[in-house]
Amino acid sequence: MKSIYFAIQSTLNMSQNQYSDDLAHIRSMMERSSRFLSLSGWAGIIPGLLALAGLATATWLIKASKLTNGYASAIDQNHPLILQLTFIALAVLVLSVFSSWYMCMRKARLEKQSTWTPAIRNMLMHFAIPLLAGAVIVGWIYENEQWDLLSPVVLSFYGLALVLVSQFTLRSIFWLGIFEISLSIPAGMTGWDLPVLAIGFGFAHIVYGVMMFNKPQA
Amino acid sequence: MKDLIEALDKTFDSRIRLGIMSALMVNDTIDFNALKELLDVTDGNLASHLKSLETATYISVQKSFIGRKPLTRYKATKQGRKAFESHISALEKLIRFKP
Repeated sequence: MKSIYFAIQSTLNMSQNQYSDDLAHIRSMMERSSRFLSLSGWAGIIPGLLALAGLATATWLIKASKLTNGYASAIDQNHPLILQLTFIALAVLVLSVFSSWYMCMRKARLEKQSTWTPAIRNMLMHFAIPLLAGAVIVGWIYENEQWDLLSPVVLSFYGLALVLVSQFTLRSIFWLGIFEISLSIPAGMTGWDLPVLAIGFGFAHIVYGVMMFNKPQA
Repeated sequence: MKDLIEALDKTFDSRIRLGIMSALMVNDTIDFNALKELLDVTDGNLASHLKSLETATYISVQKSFIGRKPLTRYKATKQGRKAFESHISALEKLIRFKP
């Protein structure tokens, strides 16, 4: 009698295991089809280092230009310093985008994941929209030479892009986005723009990238 | 227990059909090749599972062309979504069931 009971009990347990496997399979399929999870830690570390290098060069150029108050408060948009800084910023941006895209695609291939899925398309679109909106504002900042607004605007729009994109990739990106947005508060204070940019684009990316290595499914 | 097992949808017995339906629950449409890579199955295998979901009217098929390349997209129907949701709740009840 006892053994029959155990037999029933174990078949029940076995089928219950199978049902929870089914549910786990459903969850993983939903996750894999709607989120791009092959974010590489290098996709944070390389742009972080590039940003620090760019900001260090920018600080050096500003000091060398011997502006009276140390920061570009009211100089003309055609001033050679502004042109140099713009060139550095664009170079860092382009190199960062290409390196992180390359590292993510490489990781996806290594994990035998598809590199062109609805999740990736969604991710790119939701990342690009707030950044393009931010680019329009940056254009007006250039036009009106309101350089002190540049750092807060860049940080908050980038943060918004991260918050939006977190729906289609690792959820923890959401908190990186909130952090970048909150940095736009100190970034507006006179003399704080470059150090805060170094925190937001440099150190935050490096720390997040290192965290991704330790906790790949964050 | 028996009632609970009967509440499971036979259409979702196969892991592949379960996977197709899961992916279609969280995406508006998915094309054939994306499904193939997601589930890691052969063309023929995937096509036959898609056919049976289509026959059950759980998914709808949209065929179009990009240039000369045919593109087949799949979408979960209202009926399919409902059936899948009740299948999931049946699975959850079975797991919680204690004799």
